[in-house]
Amino acid sequence: MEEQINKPEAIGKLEHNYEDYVLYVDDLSIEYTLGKTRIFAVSHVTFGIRTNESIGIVGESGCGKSTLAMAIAHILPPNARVTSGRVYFKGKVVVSPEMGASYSIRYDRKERKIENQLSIVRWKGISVIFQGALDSLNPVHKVGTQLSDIFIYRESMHPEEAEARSRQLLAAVGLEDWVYDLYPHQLSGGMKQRVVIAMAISLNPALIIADEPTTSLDVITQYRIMEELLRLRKTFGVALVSISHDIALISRLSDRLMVMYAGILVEKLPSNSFDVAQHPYTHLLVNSIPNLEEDIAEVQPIRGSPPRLISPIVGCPFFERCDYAVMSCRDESAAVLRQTQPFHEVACSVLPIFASASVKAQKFRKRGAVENNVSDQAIVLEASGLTRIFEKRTGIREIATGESNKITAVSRVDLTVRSGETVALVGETGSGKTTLSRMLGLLDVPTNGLVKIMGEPINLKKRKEIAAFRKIVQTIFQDPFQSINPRFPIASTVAEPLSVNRRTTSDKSSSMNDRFQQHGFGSVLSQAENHEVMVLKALQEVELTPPEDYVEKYPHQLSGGQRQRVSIARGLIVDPKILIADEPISMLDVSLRAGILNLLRKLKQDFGISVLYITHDVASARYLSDRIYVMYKGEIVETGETEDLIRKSAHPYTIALLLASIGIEGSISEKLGERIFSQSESTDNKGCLFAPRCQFAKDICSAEKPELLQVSQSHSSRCHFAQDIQGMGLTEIKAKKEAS
Amino acid sequence: MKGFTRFLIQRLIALVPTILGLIILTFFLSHVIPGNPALILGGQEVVENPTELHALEAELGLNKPLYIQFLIYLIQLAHFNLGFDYFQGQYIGHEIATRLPVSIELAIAAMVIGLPVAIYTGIFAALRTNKPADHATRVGTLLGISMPVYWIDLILIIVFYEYLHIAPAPFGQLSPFIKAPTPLTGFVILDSLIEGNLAALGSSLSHIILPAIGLSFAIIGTISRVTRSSLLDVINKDYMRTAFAIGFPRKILINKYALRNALLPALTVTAIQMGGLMGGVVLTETIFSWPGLGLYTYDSITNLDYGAIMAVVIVSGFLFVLVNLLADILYGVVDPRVKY
Amino acid sequence: MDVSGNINSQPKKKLQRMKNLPWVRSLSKTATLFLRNKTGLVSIIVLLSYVVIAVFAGYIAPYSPTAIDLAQRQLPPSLKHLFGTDYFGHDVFSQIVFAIRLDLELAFLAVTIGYTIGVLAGVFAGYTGKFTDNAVMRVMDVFLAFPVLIFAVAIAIVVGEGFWAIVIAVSVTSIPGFSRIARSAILVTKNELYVTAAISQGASKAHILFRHVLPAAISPTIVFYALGLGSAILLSSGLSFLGVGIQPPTPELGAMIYQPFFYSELTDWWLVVFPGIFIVVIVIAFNMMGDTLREVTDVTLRR
Repeated sequence: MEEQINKPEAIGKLEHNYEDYVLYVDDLSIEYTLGKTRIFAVSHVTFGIRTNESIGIVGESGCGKSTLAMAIAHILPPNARVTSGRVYFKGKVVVSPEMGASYSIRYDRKERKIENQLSIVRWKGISVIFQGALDSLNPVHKVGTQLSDIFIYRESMHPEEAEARSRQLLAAVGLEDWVYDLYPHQLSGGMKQRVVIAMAISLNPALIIADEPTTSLDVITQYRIMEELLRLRKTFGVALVSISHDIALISRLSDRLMVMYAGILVEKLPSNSFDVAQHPYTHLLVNSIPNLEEDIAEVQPIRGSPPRLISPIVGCPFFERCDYAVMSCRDESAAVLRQTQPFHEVACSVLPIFASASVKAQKFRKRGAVENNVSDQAIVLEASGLTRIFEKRTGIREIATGESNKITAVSRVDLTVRSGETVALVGETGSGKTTLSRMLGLLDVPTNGLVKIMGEPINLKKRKEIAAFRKIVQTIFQDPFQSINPRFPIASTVAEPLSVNRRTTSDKSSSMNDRFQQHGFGSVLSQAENHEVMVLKALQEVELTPPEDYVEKYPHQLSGGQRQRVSIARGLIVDPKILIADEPISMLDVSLRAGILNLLRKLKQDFGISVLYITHDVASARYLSDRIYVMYKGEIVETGETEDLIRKSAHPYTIALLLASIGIEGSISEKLGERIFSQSESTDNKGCLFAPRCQFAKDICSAEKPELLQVSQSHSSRCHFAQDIQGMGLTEIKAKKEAS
Repeated sequence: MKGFTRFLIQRLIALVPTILGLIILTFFLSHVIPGNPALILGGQEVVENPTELHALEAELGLNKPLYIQFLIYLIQLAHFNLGFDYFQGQYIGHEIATRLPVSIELAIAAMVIGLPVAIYTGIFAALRTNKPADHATRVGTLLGISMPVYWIDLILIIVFYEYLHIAPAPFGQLSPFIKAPTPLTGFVILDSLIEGNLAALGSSLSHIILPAIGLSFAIIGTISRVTRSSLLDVINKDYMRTAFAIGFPRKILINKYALRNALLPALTVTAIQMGGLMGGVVLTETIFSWPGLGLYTYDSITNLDYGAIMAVVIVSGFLFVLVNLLADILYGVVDPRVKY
Repeated sequence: MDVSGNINSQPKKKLQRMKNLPWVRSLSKTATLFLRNKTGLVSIIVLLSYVVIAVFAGYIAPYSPTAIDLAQRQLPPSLKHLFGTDYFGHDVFSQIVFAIRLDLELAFLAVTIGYTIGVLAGVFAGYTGKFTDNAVMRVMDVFLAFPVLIFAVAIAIVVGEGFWAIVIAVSVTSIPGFSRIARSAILVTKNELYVTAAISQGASKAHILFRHVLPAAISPTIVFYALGLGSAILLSSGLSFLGVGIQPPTPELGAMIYQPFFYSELTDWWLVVFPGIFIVVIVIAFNMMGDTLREVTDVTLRR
């Protein structure tokens, strides 16, 4: 049977020696059909992986990287079609236009035949690490069942033997034995990801595809999973294709890198470093992300947004966004990969001509000193002892059992934002940072504590005070796809605060309107026109130019970045003093993030607006902010001026965050010990909340709760040993890295 | 299982307001009914004789204030006393107790016929989306939910009894020439089995087929549609992709990894159907002269026996609530994500 | 956008504004998508032809639906009596034509009343607060605890006889279902991020309700309006079949099916088959309409 399939490929072997590769992707193109539209997801991709090699594919969402990965594993949805090319696994065709790359449970006779051919490749040859935090595990079966089923149904193993093997596997990925008997919903994101990894290595495949293996995990867990993957690669000697939008992660995980854009490979780099990159897109992508290793003065935004791929692209797909574009970039051959150096291929006909060094110089470096020190400015927004306790449904059940189900999301937080200052609030998912931001935006009622504006506490029972507050403080939400009503044109959305606050926003222009009011319609119209002018101005301010083009569009016609700008424009239209931005970039494509970051910066510089920037990403917090608050389990654990806090961190959690963000293998374990990765909850509130994860914890840590105390001027830490550990983070690592 | 008992108690407590509301509503309905029950009951005699009317009113407790009447009603209910049926010459409670198993037997028979067909066709259609087989199933299920149950019943009788003469005459549970089994459980089929009365067993089985099929159409229509759409949902889930990438055999993929998740919504709908079956039972029993609760309802309607109607309303409300509770509990057993 | 305020451009601009109203926009979009769908188109054609029959019943029916002709009793279908005659010599075809008028009136009236009250209650429950929500939904739970047909029988008997008894019974029994759906739609929309955004800008509750919540929450309930019409026809004809509500000789489809069962032999199959077919076809049409509406109003599909 196998030989029969292999025979026709003998012809192919004349051109390439596919058997030298574990996997060879040859001129692969994939297309989706969605109703009547076709989406050209992957176009003419060619690359190969040898045994024990690790390749990383970087790209933004929608660039086709996931399609490529799933095509290799032959698990695309049924509406995907292979339009050209083949994929060879150890010289054997697994994907071709005839075989397709889709899976379907509803298969017919022909598909069943293909499935039979693939059965030795599936999981035994190629396995996949899916995003474990999503529902890639079946919710109604125990973890153990799902693992041992692989052995039972793929290896015809006896159930008892399968169970033993599964337990070994769980141990191999660092999970405790009892995980075997749990259901997926009982596991944390990191644990689920490990289960998924355990499944992927179960049948000793020759190739593992890791599709965004750490996305949606928190930073420290991400780091841990990355270490785990590296270790497994060493022990099992498998080839690895990892796919991510996270440039830092992927370069650490891989031997070689490839960059994908709009369905094509635009660059194949010879090593795992982006320093030698030659394609303009790769450059811009790398430079558009603030990182912690280098102190970047200004990230470079990429203008425009990625093409939609609904029609085939002729020439270079990056043409419209590229500063180096010339007319010949429109030629059909412009985007063909060319070898510029050994093992280095670039799909650009212009840039490789320039010396790569000249491009690299675009990376500005900060001068080191902390700029505009604003600590003497007046406090505009202040949280004083803010606490939020969620009580889970006080129903008959709780009364009957006398048990209270209280969760302290935010605990006695003091926070200040000064005039013209950008303050960052850093914390991972579940740290309570969003609850805090909601309370500060008066969207949630604190259990305790006060929100003060210009030094005046807000009385939450007085509508007038709240209305006045809402004019001064505007909130930008994380998800630009949901924070704008899809039913309204952009103009209505941006103008909404005006119509909502008609009475309170009686500024000069509307007082002028009052005189017209007696004349009936005239005044309404002039007010509408007045609104139009203001909308156009606001759109201009958020760099949606020309604004006339946007007013009549609907949200679904805009990219994520443009929507976020609309959302910011809506905030700006009432001339706020303070902007609360809750993870404004985390849902955006990588290439669009820098634009929003720079916009927030501009707002502060040009309009003197104070920004409270809430994020899980220390690097962007450093890029944007003057001061940083670090939050852990509802408490502020450290605060200080940005550079001071990052260079001389005085709390083990902050240090862990920083090290994880830089992500040098082994660095966290070395500094902070293995305990940092444990997820154990401290149940009693008596001691330090971080103590169970802290290597330095002494008796005092579990007995006495540390207060937020000053370690130096305007730098405080909630740690009993703040002085001892201060500065053991970034500076030392940097020195070490430069030395090596 | 400690959590489970707590969950059960909690759910039972939550039922209290619903059931109380049920009783209040029925009581209210029975008291706004036009006409004096005493007049209806006494007929011509009492109309001309006011003393007798008052005596009858006193006997029925109609001269007391409304809240006292309600209290009496409650106390009577607590003693399972649903009133006296003057038309049948029997306590309503007794009538219902003997007729309830008869109806339940029919409902179960309908489920036994309908459920496997529904689930099978649901899976069948889901695995062949937008192919002819799927379209055919869709038309079939659409018919199932769109045909009035009494119409189906009559057509079945016309075809299988009037013309083909395969089915027995549509009168009751048993052929009149066969000795009925002693009612132990009230379920005729079960009783004949216990007694070893094969003649009665055969007769009761052949009698139950047509009404059960008639009732099963709606079940098939609804549950098949739910099964199809939820299975389609599940098939597109990420964990199915994982299972597929692992390369499990198709049987395992569907039966172990897809179906269990897909049948969860079907379970809820089944419970609602089961409760709603009571309505269909009224029509079906009327047509087949099936001596259950439904026929009793019909007879009470024609006799304008309000007490009996309200009793049926209360009992069917109770049943409905109980079946839903049962479904909730089952749901928790099947879905590990439900926390007690 | 025209900022100059040219007088001539006013009507045009107004029209443009109209088009941009969220209600108008989503309605017209739904309508186009609906008609483009094959199933939707078929269901609309069926409904329209029923409406035509109902409106022109007097012209279509060859005989009076209530004319008794004892010489022409129990005749099988022929050219003279297309669907035959019944026990009293009524022409079945003419009866069906008038029964369709009655049943459509019944269904639309009952469902519209039930829908309006139900949606208002649902919106009230979902939007006002925890206490009112609990209060309203508890009451609805009680209503939902009854099997529909039996509950409808009880109500119809309480109300009395005739058209309105059925209308009230059908509409009352449909209220809890509609209110549940409306409430859950409101709860979903209420938690949309754009609603939170509007709150943070200081929008009033009324503004949010009418501008953001209702336009989004109403469209899914329209699906259940269509489905409700189908079950209303089934329910009202079932009630008539039981002899509750509409009494002969007023022609009603369910009551017509009951007649041969009660008076004559079931061998008069045409008395059962034809009225039944007319019920089935319109109910299928309503169900198809509901399915199609569900498909086209599904926001995720539209994106």
